[in-house]
Amino acid sequence: MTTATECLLRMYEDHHRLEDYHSGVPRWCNGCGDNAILAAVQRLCRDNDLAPERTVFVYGIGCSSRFPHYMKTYGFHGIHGRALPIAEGVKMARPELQVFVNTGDGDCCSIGAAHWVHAVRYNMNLTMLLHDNHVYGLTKKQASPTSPLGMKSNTTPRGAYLEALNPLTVTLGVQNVSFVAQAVDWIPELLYDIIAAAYRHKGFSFVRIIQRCPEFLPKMFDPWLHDPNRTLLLAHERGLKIGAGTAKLYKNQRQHDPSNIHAAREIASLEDPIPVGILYWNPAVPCYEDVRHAGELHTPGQVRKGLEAELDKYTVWPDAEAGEARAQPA
Amino acid sequence: MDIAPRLQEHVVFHLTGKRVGPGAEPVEGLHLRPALFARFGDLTRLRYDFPVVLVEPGADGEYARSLSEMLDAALKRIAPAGIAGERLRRNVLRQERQIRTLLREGAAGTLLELWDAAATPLASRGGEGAQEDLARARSALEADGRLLDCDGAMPAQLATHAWRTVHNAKTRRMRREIDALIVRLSDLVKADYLRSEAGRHAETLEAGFGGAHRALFDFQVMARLLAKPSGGSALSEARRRRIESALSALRAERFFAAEGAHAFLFEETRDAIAAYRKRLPEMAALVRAMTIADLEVQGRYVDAKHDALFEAWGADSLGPQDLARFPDYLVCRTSARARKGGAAARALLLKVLAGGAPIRIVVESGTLLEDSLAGEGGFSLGAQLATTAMGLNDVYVLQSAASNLYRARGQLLGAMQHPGTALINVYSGASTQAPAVGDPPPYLLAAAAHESRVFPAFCYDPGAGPDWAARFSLEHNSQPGADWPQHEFAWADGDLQRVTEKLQFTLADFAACDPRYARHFARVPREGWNDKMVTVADWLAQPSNGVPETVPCIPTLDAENRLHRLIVDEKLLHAARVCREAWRRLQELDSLKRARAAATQPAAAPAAAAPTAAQGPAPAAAAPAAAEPAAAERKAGNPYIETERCSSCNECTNLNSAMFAYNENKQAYIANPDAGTFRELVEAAESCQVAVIHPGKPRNPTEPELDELIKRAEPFQ
Repeated sequence: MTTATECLLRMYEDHHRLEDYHSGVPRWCNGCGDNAILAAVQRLCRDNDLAPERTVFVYGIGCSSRFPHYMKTYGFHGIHGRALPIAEGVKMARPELQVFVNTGDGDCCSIGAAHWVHAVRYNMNLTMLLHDNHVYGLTKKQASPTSPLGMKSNTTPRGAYLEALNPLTVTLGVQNVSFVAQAVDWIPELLYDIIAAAYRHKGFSFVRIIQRCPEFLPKMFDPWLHDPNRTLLLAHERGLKIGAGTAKLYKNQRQHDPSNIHAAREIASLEDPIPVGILYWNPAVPCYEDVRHAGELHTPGQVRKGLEAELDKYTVWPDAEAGEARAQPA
Repeated sequence: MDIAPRLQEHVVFHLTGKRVGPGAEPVEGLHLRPALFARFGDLTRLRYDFPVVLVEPGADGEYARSLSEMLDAALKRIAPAGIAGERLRRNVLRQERQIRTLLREGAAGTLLELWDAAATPLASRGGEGAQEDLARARSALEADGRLLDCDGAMPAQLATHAWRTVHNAKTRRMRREIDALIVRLSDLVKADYLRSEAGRHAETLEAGFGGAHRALFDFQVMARLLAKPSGGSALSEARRRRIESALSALRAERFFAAEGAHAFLFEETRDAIAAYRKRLPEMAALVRAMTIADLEVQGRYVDAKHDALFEAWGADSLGPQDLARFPDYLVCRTSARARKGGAAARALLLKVLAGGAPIRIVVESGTLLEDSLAGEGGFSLGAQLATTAMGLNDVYVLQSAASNLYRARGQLLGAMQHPGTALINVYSGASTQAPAVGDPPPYLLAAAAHESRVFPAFCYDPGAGPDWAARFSLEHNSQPGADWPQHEFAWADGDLQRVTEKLQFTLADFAACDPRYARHFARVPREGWNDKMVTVADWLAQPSNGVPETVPCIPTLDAENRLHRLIVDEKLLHAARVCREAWRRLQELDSLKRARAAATQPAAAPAAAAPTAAQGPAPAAAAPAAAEPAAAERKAGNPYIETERCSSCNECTNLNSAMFAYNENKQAYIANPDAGTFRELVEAAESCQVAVIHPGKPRNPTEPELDELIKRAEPFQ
């Protein structure tokens, strides 16, 4: 941007209000944690003055994936588990757009697991919010990969047979991981701070939001709701800064440097207390769209030149003598 | 062996410059050089900074490298240590000497060209393996470029190369930006065309198809189908015109174009300024086009707000940041041209320097010791252009003799990158008249001027900090703390015994390098040497009262390295005094840096202690303040919600949207405590997921089942 443009734009800036990002009344159940996430994301858009026409929410299938219907920005409702490849395509084609991905524990960790692993590797500048409510909610209570052992559901009437998958350790185990954080929907100020940090990070930001399902698992997180000491806050000057009010209530805190991946992996394995904060943050990992950027402009002339050069390699020149090379057209 | 009359002759010569006896002989034709330049007799046999290779800047940002450094780096990479690599090293060093000789004889070209020219005789003459050694070394050279020896043209060429490095980088950046804008605007125009009537016409659609499959489609039907959803062109007439005019302005610009760009190199300051003024409207038009393009591409152009702004756009709308993106101008004024221009040119120069336009001016000083206006035959140090320019405060000033220019290449690059005006004052040591055979090499004269403080190196960078301490630097002068640099000089006397003395390199030594000042010296024959002949530095140090009892002398060497002692006359000594004063003023400016450094050291410790003490009480004060209003609320028994902890789950707002409302952060608060019943408050508190609702005391005592409700509300108070 030229400096004159900057001045002009700043002069005529219209600031968006929270309501500018509202689009319809959410149809989630009362008490659903998705409401908290929606409020936090709308606040983020307002506080950073994100232009609605330059913001995209890409999502898959599930309760979580109702999210972008309630955001007045661009969105793309993809098929089950394929939110990430679509988001990556959007980012490659239009790198200047802000791309968010909303996915759930089924959409991401079950059917979309393959894309998830490679999205972490690609490290494209996206913000991914995993709405983890530990159940397939939209289809009315089936066990998901993150459901705890022994949880009874329609598909596991005798209780789930397998230990729950830990999305944090899986993400931290993939090469090129650059940002991993965990939030819980009942501490909204930290939820907002974590989502804001994820937005600011230039790279693939993975935020797992532990969310309550008041309809199918209403009591599951009661112990954590009633005992603040079962939540472990990760504070650090390079990570999350805890406000005075929150610190008074949630006294169980630990200083954790987000650049320490080994400590991050250790913390990620904790089930109880639940760690909340930024586990890992490495701003130096290159983004795929930057690495792939050839530095040349993709003009139609360039594309035509490239195609013609390739196809000319296979052209047969019938009037050339055997062994004689015919000059290629320039 | 009578000392006294001899001393008289010496003193007379010193005071008047006239040789009146056999004790003072002329020095013309002896090709003498100062004693401290003993090793500099033949520059081709010496390894020093020059010649310099002008390279394309790589990752390290270096735009010029000394040949000796490059060869040393190459040898370090390919030659094994110890005796095994000796042959290779010797051959490469011989090659280096040969290249220097070729340059001295007037050859020119790039490093590889001169390498090949030098290698042919060496390969045939040198022993076995010379050819393959040289080939190996050649392939180990990291870069290629034009080779510059330290001659009259070198400063201008080095400065031009530095300027070009900065210019190319700037042009590449801007070119990319402009191309990106052109592509996006063309896309807009094209998309609009495709949606318009003309674009959806059957013929246009057919023309857009490849050859083989046209027959498969009915383009009339296709055009009809497309007519319905398209809805016509998206661009209004005004917008289309604006985009097209911005596009044509961007395509036709001549500042960063690959071909047909404006020239930015000039030989005269007035030409550069005239060109700059003439192009200001063009620059304004380009910035306007780029700004409009930027706004259009982002879809943020609003006619009502922006039209008026762009109507009134002119050359005065350009800010300093806009100007900084355009290329700078370089003016190289040789000393011959400067002399022709005279006083008027110099006045224009100062005016331009004060003006602040982005111009870099390289001025070569020709004669350093000019004839003084006061009295016949005396010297003055000239108009001191660089020191005058420093007084203008915003000008980047670099003064350096050519011999030091390689060391000062970082500062030279800094001059090219400085956003305002820059003045580079160089002394090349080359003769301003046609070169003659007996002339000293320019490198020696320049080095002498540098060492003797006649042309000291200094740099004033206005961008380096807020005050003189940060901006001024004397770093490249030898022994900047002393009046003159002092070195040890060792020679063998008649009995072949080693004698050492400490010598200071003064203005008199500089004058001894140049045959033009020969008449100011008188040679004392060996028999006449006595202890009344002292060094110039000592002579200047002693108080001058009455008839002098000693005479100032300098030791010099001739072509066979024999020592001669020369008496220096009063005119040169007066000039040396003036030169020393000027140098001391510069030293004073430089000492501000040291004073600042000394002053800040002890103060740092107490300053660090103070903030931590201040931080302690503050957070403690904040927390109780936050707790107080909450405590007050609770005491009053009013219902309240801890709004910051609300998770926006809609439970309470769906229960009673008059009593519970969302604030601008979509977090709940009690909008109207009387808009609902106590029962609703308790139910909301019970269903609140994060238990942040506190029902308080019932406000309506007539509400039914109040006791039960109060008991239920207990855990939430």
